Amino acid sequence: MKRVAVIGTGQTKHTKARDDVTQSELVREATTRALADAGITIHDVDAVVLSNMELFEGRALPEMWVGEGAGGYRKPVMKIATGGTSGTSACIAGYHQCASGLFDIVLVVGWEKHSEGATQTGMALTDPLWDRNVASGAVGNFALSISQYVAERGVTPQQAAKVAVKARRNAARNPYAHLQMDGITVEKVLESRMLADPIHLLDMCPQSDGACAVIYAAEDRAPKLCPRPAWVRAAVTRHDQPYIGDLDRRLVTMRTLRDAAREAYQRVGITEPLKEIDVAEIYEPVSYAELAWYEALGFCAEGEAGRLIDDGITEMNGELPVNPSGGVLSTNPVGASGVIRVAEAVMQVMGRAGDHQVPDARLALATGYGVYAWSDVIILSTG
Amino acid sequence: MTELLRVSHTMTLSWRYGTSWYFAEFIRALRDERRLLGLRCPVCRRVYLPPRPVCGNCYAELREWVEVKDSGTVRAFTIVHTPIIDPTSGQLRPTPYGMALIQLDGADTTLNHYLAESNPAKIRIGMRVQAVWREERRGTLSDIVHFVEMNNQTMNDEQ
Amino acid sequence: MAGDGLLAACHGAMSILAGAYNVVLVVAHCKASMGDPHGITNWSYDPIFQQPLGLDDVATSALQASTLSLAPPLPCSIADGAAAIILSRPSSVPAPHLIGMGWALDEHYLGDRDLTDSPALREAARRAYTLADIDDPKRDITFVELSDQFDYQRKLWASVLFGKTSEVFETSEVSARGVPPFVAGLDRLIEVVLRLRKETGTALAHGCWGPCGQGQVVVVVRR
Repeated sequence: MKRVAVIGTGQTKHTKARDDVTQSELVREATTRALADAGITIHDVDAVVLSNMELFEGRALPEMWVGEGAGGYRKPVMKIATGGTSGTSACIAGYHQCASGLFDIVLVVGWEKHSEGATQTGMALTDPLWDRNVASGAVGNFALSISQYVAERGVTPQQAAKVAVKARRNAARNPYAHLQMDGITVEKVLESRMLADPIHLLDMCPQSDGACAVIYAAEDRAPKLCPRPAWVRAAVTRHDQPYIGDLDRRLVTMRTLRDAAREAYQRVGITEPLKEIDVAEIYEPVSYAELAWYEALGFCAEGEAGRLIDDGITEMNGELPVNPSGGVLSTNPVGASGVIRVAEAVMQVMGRAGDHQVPDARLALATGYGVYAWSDVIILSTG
Repeated sequence: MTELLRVSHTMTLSWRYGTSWYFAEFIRALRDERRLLGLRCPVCRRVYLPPRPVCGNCYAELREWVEVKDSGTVRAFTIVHTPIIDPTSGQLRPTPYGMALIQLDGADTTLNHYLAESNPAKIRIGMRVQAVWREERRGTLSDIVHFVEMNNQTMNDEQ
Repeated sequence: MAGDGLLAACHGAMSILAGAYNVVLVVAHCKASMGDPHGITNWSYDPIFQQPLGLDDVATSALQASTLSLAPPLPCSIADGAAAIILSRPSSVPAPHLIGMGWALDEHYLGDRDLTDSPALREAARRAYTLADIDDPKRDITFVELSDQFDYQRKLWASVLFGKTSEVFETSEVSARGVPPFVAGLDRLIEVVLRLRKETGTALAHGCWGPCGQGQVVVVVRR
């Protein structure tokens, strides 16, 4: 097995609707930018992994039509759909393809074009026998979990709103982000329309059109192609039971993220994540979730997440900036969102994050979250 | 520049999901006897409701039916304000409505179902609730209309 | 992941080769009886030019059959089914070994393709043979298990793999007919493994998915 690094990334400007491109062309935009960033051509790419939740756009086998946009012509192309974790699953698959020794250069592209479909089709993710007649979408499910989290850990709506404010203000310095709201405040979040108690509109992620690509290279190629490659140090996946009612206090315990992080930290030798990690891009579909993830990721003890956001520890100038890109709360083309986490983490350690660069970032964490409780944890570093 | 065009599609598709022995038995007891049944894992002894064939943690087959009460405790709740299409009817659900994860007495997992109450100030985790049944049962989980807070009046009715 | 179950086996194999896991369970299933195969396969054609024609896999198989001067094939019967295999690191246990794998995607627009040929299958096989160190497949491969979506395709795949006048050593009186799509490739791999448990040899398992087999996957196994 080989060491693997990311040598380039590319993404589209994520927006509410890209009426000017097909899905295939959207993928080609991100692919072209990633190739340029990596300094290679499409002919150097050995294999392609695609990430997309095609049911949202009313498609089946989307790699058939869209594969061309990623240069999949007569190449090994594989497509993955694992809910919100699609992007990180694809990134981990691409990493495995490279580490296996089978391929030297692997392109991973995730995309979603929510404007072309109906997200209610996401109902299909819900168990058809027991859960569907009551299911109230992602926001309903999050709200249920959040009610337990709030009851046990005591976070306030204001603290959650601070997470939403941090995200959109960070996004204002990310030219690719969808929601850029420099003037957003806690009051505006709490005054925004209630979706499902206690989640307000501005607590929740948007639906975006967008694509994002990363390019992996095996250890014998990476240093020749890239002056400062982002080496994959750990990539861990954990999944859990599907019924919404099975997992005891899901957001409170978040055992998949906890387990995956523990394993990843052990592989890299991280014992104090808050001190040792320079920047984190974590997949937070709703503001409260980010607070729960601080605890599950070991950034703080249980019950301390509110203090972390109150003290500004996870702001851009804090000890551990979380989501300098604006996160999923600012940009959410579902099939791409996990890839964006990895790409943004890579951009940080490569020093290519522009206006939202965390100074001297060397060790970065990226996570994926999906369905009810699936988690991916990826750690990248220079050297 | 030439004006950009869009291509539209409309399709009606329907699915019929095959179910298994445990679903048939659960629904039979619900419809014919107004009883709720869970399945107990032989290894960890957890009682699962809704029932399913295998325990997720132990990967052991579940065969032992356990009767579960139609009263329980609210473990999580929300009030939904966003209109969502109910897949069983194809219609938008009127909002707002209360929804909860309810641990029925005798079960170890929770059931996702409606609450009659839609004022969040009147709902709390740990609240005791009671199922309200439809007069004529058809053999679906919506034979339970929703759950209401148990109070002395309700308990007296039960006796 | 999406596509044929045999591709999932490749996915699992690579994660073992990458050092991520020691033992991987691969499962493929299909329950087409629950839904509408016409509708769903129609969704796999691009929404701009092909989907609006009402194309589905039955119609396009008829198109492909006509290019081979064959009559339209009978629609394959809808089947429900599942298959599972367990992969692990090579060990001293004398189990069949996965020694080569390859997959590739053809062009999407039917009009762009030569439907009497399958460059994707040729490419997938080439990659598998390279990994397996096989430079004369007709000599080195003992037997073959091919998938199809429709009956005529097995002859087409065989001629792409071994030439037009080849004999193909299939165990198939039990042919791929009756095995559901997306399961078929993994089912072929199981047939290969079951036979290799009884006799030594080098075998090829094949899977395909998408419009007229746009996606192709080949795995080589030896004991």
